[in-house]
Amino acid sequence: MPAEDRAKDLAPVRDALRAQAAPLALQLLRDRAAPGDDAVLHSQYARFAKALAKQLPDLPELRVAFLANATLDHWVDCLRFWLLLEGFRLEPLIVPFGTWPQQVMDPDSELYQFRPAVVWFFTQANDLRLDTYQPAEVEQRGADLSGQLSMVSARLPALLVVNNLPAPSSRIYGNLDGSMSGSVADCIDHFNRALPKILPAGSAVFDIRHLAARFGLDRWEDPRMWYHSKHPFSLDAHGPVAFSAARMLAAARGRARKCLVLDLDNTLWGGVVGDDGIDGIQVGPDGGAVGEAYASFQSWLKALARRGIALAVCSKNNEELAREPFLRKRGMVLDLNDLVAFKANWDNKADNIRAIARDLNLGLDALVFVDDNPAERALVRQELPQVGVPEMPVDPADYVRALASGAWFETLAVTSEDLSRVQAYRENIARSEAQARATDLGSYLEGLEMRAGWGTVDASTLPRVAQLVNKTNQFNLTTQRYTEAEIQALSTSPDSWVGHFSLRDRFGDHGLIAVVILAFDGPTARIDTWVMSCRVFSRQMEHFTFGVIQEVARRRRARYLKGTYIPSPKNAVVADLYQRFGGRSVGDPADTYTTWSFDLEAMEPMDAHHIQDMTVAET
Amino acid sequence: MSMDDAWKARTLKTLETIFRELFLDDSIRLAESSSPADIDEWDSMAHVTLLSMVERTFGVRFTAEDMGSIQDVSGLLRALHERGAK
Repeated sequence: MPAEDRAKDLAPVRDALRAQAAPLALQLLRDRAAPGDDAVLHSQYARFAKALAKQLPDLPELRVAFLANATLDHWVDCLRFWLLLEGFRLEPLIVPFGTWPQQVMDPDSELYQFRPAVVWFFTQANDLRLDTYQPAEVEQRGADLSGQLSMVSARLPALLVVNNLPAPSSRIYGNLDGSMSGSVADCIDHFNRALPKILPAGSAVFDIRHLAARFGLDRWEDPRMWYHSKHPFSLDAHGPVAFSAARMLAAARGRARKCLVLDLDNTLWGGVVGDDGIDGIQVGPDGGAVGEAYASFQSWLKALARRGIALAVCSKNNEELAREPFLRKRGMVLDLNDLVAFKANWDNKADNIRAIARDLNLGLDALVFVDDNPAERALVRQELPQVGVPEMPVDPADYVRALASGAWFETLAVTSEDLSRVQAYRENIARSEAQARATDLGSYLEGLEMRAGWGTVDASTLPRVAQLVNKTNQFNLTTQRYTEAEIQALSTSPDSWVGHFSLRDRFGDHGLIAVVILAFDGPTARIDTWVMSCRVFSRQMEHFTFGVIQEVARRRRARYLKGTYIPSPKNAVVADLYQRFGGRSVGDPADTYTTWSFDLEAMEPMDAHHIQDMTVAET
Repeated sequence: MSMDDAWKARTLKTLETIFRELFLDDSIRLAESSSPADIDEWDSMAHVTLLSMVERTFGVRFTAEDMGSIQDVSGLLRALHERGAK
């Protein structure tokens, strides 16, 4: 194969590896490798990855077990490469050919001994072994698979992944295959639709059907490679499938990107608003083909925003001019409400992007940056290597595909938290800006117009209460953990009280952010548990909560309040809380924990001046 | 028709270029007797990749049966000859 057809110079990678410069080799590969690169390049990447993994022992390991009736070794080598670029060292187990059912059923099999974090059921159409092509038969196969999945999920706390099925490239009924009930295509569709419903919790479907369609079924299927060596699809398809799998697995391990930072000129519209003016830029049908392309790109971005990806603007422009199109230009699809941050100035883009990440309280590795200008892209890649910067094509008609094919925003589930996340980001930014403008803490707190409420736990609040009790580490006085059932029991017992606290302010609602569990013993009310989300530190919520604790204890005829601080590696922030609130130190100074006592009759009720009590009813 | 020496030498030279390119190693020297035992990185993934590169370079297509029978360089030469590579 002529060298000129292969434009990637991998010699520097080989040299870096020989010099044991693993991070450099990884960066060089990251700059060169594309998912669509052919089998030859991927075999080279795979070889490099094996050597590189040995030189990067500190990267987190990801143990994945594969169950397949195909030869996966070469694909797994490609997966190792793409997972390395995601920051993981793949530790694979490919069960010996033909042993899939035994591995699942035998509790002492290699599969279970391996203790994988992920078990991948590499299902293929062949595995369905359909005879009658009736829906009942397809359902039976689905049920068999579901049984296997349940068996594995009962024995391992692993993510289970199952492939859906591509359509076959050859059709028995020709054109009619596509609309006939009982055709192979119909059975496969039936199976694919049923798949998400039969999967137990903690599973994911790998949409290999989509990848095959995009790749092209004729190139995807390779009968020779199947008969000769049982490769599940053609060698050239190994790369794209491995890339997509790596992105999905990284998302499963929490490496999700959450924010897309966008340039404006020639990225969201054609032209430069500073030079061409608002009438000269092209977006929407008035702008011809170019305008339509940009409008389509904006529609795509708007859909991303609706799904919970935060959109931010970073443009070298006069701020007022940059905002104009969003306010006045016909044809624009995005409006200012779709954006969580807007940085239009003449500063360095890397600095602006850092500021955006800070304002949103996100790591740089949660950001993606899109800019038509190769110089800006290169600058950001250089300065902020953790930010994802896709290559953008010259033609805006290709923008959507360029961004979509990067698989930057993979997720295993969409939660209501995702959908309201954009709103939550906007609120946080507004709070940061208010804080920056406030001249002193008092006026800042007053300006927040905080309103808090409290109540006792019930069925609807129990999950969130349990989540706070079990996940809060910093503002946690005793680090007592309780299951939902235990909290439920505590809330109904006459000797204890479980209260929850919520806070909202001018910018939005923080929701339920604190939990207190009191235990009553004669004249003493003991604060058994007090947790609070770090989102609302230092806003006087601590004072509000303590005021309520005093109130509840008094109503229960307690004379004394007792609080204990049990030190943990993470809760130093509350070590002196009870002392600051006027508690008297009691107990043995030699103890590792500290105990504080409050005389309820003698002390003043704690007041949180800047928080208004919105509690409506009381139990 | 049996393999003539000129064809063999020419083909071996081209194969050598392919091997050097795949393994990023200009020091590789191929002989008719070369096999995976002689080259460390010639594993099963490299093997199927090589077959694909050889097909493309010579403009031939190996059958599934060919692929099963090619184990080393002499096998490559034989299969290329059979498939009419120039």
